[in-house]
Amino acid sequence: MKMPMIFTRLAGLIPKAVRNHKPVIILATVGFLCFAPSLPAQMRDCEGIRTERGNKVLLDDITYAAIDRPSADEPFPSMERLEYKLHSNIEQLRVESGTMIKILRCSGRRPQNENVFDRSLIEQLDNKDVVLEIWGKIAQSKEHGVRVHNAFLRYVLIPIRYSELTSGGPSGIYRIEYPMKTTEKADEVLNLFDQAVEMKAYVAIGVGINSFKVQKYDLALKNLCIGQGLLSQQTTRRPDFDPKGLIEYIRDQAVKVIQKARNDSSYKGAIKLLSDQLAANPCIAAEVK
Amino acid sequence: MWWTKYKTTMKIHYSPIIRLRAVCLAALFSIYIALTLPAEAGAPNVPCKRPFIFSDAMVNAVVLPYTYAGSSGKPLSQTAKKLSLLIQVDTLFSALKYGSIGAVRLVDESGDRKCEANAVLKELQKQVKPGHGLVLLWGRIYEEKKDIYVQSYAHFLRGNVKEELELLIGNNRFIASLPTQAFAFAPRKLTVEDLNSIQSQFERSAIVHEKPDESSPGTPIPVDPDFPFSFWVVDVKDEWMRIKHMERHGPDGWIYAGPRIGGWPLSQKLPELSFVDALIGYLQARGTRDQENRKRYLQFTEWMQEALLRYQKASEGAEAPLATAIGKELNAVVRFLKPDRSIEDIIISQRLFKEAVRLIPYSADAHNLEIISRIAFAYQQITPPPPSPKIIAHDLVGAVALDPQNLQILSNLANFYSLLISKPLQEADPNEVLERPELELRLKAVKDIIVTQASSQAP
Repeated sequence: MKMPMIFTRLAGLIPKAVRNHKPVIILATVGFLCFAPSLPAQMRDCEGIRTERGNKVLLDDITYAAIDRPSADEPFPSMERLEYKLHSNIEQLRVESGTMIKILRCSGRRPQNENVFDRSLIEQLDNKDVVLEIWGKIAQSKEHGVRVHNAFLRYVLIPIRYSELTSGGPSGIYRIEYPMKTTEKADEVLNLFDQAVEMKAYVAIGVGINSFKVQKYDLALKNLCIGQGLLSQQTTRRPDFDPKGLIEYIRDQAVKVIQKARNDSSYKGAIKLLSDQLAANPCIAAEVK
Repeated sequence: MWWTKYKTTMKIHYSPIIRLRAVCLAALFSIYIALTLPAEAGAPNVPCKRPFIFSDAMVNAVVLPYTYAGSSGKPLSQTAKKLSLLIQVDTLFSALKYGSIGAVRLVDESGDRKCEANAVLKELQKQVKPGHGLVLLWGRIYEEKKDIYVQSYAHFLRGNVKEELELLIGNNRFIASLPTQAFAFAPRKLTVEDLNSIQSQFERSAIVHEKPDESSPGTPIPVDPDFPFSFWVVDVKDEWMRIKHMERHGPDGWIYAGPRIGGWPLSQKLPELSFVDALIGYLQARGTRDQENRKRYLQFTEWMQEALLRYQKASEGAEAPLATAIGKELNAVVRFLKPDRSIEDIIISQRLFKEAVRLIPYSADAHNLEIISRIAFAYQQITPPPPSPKIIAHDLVGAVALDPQNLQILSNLANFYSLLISKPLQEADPNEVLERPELELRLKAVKDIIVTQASSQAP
């Protein structure tokens, strides 16, 4: 068998005794291919991430990890329910956030798990003004012989995740999970996965923190207050939703925005009008009473 | 263009009143165009990539095709297509009572997903005349066995007009904008049985009668994606229109175009259709400006308020806070702008603005609207408790915190300080009064910031 050119060139680097031993060469080649770093196909770059300007939300694929995935013509309600809810929420986010953000659909981008969002990746995303990344997954298990699809939705709030990894801030990853029996009706799961308000809150918080980083104090305060207000509203509507840690962090950040604005001699804006009382809790008007 | 030819025909053959109502019925023409013309007929469809509105109509309501919500591009079933059509027809028939209306249903004829709301809105905004209104409605559908899940979205606007409330108190202007003109409605669920029942009810209500009398014999207007229906308006009598079917086979006669108690049947299951009715009423009302139109303004606002009440009742337990808040604000605004508005109108408006703030407390604009209505209320010197200038000023500064770049709020703050200087509130509790030196200091600080903000925001 004639060796391909690449292997012929490499052969020059290998001792002659080994080069002449074909089984070794074949084994080495196979071994190289097996253990070479895999292409980052699951975290492939998203179209538009480099070219679109402004704050961005990345919507990744919803994947499934099931042993016996339904065939193409068999209904797969778990996947369809999740897709319906996610896409409806994304549309609501787009409609109600106006031009504040760009939503990029990232086909083929499939985070394996949360650990891929390490410091290196987070810094890359942060540099490209990505504020939120969303993906979903359906995994299968069996309960008392009945097939159950567990649906997961994950949000990574990039600026908060960055703070978590660099200075021990609150967690920047949020999870929704729900076991869906294929026989049950869609209503409950569709209600649970109605995350439109949470998405708006996360986006506003991300935009707020990013604005703060570049001393855009007015925009930072406005968006942090929107985020705080939306989260506080959701705690009254959803008893199981507990973003206390995140709300406290946002309050703290809002106070820091005011402190920095007041101390910045180049800042001449309206934050200077706030009284000390208001400066201690600037987003108080945004909270549900 | 085919529609230009239609308008020319209208000018030759019909009186202005009939022309006005005929614009409405041109909507039905658009349904015909959208649904039925085979390619060999040679006439154009109304595709999303070439959307149009009836430019003479005071308000246009445009419904995009409701699409499957998932990412797999699955086409809608016949049931879902029927729902999409019923939504459009319900919108049209609810709007008939307002008179100068255009209603258009767009289709995604090429299947290349050109019916994105953003793209369509961008095109339509170029066509809307100054002061004329546009309501765009679209949505997502998901079907599972016999259940249909729907979520709708709306965007409304007037050509070259900002949606704001302006009040003159003394010599001071106070201005506040609506928080948004685009929002989502709460998701809804219908069953196939619901849909069939609604279609039957509609067919019983949308009847073409032999005479302008509901007791006279009639034929229902069919609701079928495969059945074209298009009409010419040939006569108008009170709240009845006489129509002539454009096809060889179809009902001719009189249809009732007035308001219906309880609205049309689909709006019970999809309350957002009542909201769209209210949006049309709001835009029509804002379009009538002078005293000659006083009667029409009052009629439009009455219909708008009835529609909002129907929305509220049908939405109980499943509200969308942002949409509901906007509804309350629109209601409050039209009351404030009523010719010969009463003290009761101001009190009700203020209550509605407060309720809106409770729903969307994070919105600086919602706070701004509520506060300027409170200032107007304070200067009416109506009833106890006495207004507190300190609290009003404090709340305005609180609104500034929610949006420090908002020039309207800053101007309102400055104007409030000016007003207190020139015309102190007589009934105020002395402990709640701001003294003149303090007012002048604060006024100067705010004015300096306004100058800086205005120059940094200048194009």
